[in-house]
Amino acid sequence: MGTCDQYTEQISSLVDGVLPEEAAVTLRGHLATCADCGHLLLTYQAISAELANLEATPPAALSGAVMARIRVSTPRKRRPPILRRLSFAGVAALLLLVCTYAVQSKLLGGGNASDSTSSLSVASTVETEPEEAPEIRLAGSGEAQDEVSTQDAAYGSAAEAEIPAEPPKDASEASEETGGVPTTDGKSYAGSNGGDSMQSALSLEVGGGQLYAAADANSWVFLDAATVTQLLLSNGTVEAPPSESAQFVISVLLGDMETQYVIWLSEDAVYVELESGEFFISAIDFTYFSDILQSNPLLAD
Amino acid sequence: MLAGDKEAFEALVTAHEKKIYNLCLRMTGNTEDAFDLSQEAFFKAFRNLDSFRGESGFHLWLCRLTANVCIDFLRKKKRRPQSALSYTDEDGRQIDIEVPDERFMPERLLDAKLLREELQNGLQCLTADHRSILILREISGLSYDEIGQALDISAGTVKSRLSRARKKLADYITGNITEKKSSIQHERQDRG
Repeated sequence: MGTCDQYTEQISSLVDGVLPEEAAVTLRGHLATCADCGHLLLTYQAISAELANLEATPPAALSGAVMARIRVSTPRKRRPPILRRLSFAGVAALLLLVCTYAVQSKLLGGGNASDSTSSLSVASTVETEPEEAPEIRLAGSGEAQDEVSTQDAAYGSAAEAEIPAEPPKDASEASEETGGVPTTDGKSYAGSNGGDSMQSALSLEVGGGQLYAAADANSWVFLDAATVTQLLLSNGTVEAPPSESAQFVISVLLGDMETQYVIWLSEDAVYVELESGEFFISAIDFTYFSDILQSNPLLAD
Repeated sequence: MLAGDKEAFEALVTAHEKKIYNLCLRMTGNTEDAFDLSQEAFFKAFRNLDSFRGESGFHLWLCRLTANVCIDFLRKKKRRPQSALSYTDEDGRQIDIEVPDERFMPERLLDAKLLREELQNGLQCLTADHRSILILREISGLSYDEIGQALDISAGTVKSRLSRARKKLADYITGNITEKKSSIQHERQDRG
C-alpha cells in the first residue's frame, strides 16, 4: 500500500474513466481504507459534475457580432500588401470626403444638397507593382458635391502653410512606429472629381508614418494613424443610415477582382453597407476634425 | 468547408458558440472578456480555415485555437488575481502553496450553492495552464489525447497536469468552504 500522494493522480484518472482496470482495483482497495482519498474522490466528482452544470448561454449578439466582423473584414482578408496600403489610403480618401461634407455642414454653412451627380475617382499611381494596379473609385451624389468645389477654392489659397511642403520619401521605420500606417516610399494616389469643369485635386501620399493629402504639389494636409483613430469614435452596426445621408460607392479594383462598398455619410458618421443588409457604422468626431481643418491653412479663406 | 464560405461558417458559429463562449468565460472569469475572446477566436478561425486540414475534428481545432487565444490574452493582460494558494516571490515567480489534506471536509463540499460559488472563484485562481486543461476536459469534454493535441503536450503530461489542476482547485474550494462554514457557525454562536 503506497502513500496517499501516489493515488492522487489515479483518482483523477478514475474520475475521467481512463484508469486501467488493474490499477482501479488497487485504488479501490485503498479507497476502502483511506477516508482522505475517499473524500478526494467525492470532491473531484462533485467538481466535475458542477463544472458541467456551469454552462452559460452565450449572449444573443455573439454570432451576429462575429459575422459582422467577418463580413466587414473579408474584402481585406486576401489582399496582398499593396492593396492593404491602398485600403488605408482609401480610408483617408473617405475621411477627406467626410471633410468636404463637414466643411459645408459644420464650418462654412454651405448650401443644400445638389441635384447634380458627380464622381470622385482616386486612381493609384503606384509604379513599383504595376501588375497589381489597384484602383479606388468613389462615386457619389448629393450634399457633398458642392463642398468639393468649396474646398477647391480653399485649397487654392494655401500659400502660408506650416505643414511640410512635401511628404518624406523614405519612412519605413517611422511607419512601423505609428502602427497601421503603410510602409512605403512616398506612395501616392491622385485623382479628381470628374464630370464637370470644377476639377478638384485630391492626392494622397503615404510616407513618414503619416498620410498626406494634397490640393496641389506644394500644399499638404497630413493625417497620422493616431488622428485617423481618434476621428473614428466607435463602431457597430445599425439597420439603416439616416435618410439625409449622402451615398457614395467605393470601388476597389485589383486585377480582375473588384470589391464595392456602398458608403453613406451622415453629419456624424460613416456607414458601410454589409452583405447582410445591415450597416456598419463608424462615428466620426466632427468637432475634432473641424479643429484640424480650421487650423489648417489649406482651408483658410 | 471552403475558406471564405461565410454562410457555412455562420452555421459553424451557431453550432459551436456555446462551447466556445463557455470556454472563454471559464478561462477569463468575466462575460465581457468572454464575449470579446469568443469573437476573436471565431474570427481567427475564419481567417485560418485554410490551415484546418480536417485531420482532427473542427471542434477540437476550434478549441485549440480558442484556448490559445485565451492563454495569450491572460498572459498579456496578467489579469490572474493572486491566488490564496500562491504568492509571487522576489523574482516574480508564482509559487504555489500546498494546503494540508486535513482541510478536506467533503460532507460540507456537497453544499451545492457554496460549491458553485467557490468553483467560480477557484477557477480564476488557477494558473492559465491548469485552468485551460481543466476546462478543456470538464467543459469542452475533450479526451486526454485531444487535449494533448490542443495544447501540444503529451497524453502523460495531460494526465499529471490535470490531476494537479484538480488538486489545486479542490484545495482552494474545500479551504474556503471550511472557512465560510466556520465563520457562519461563529456568527450563530455569537447571536445565541
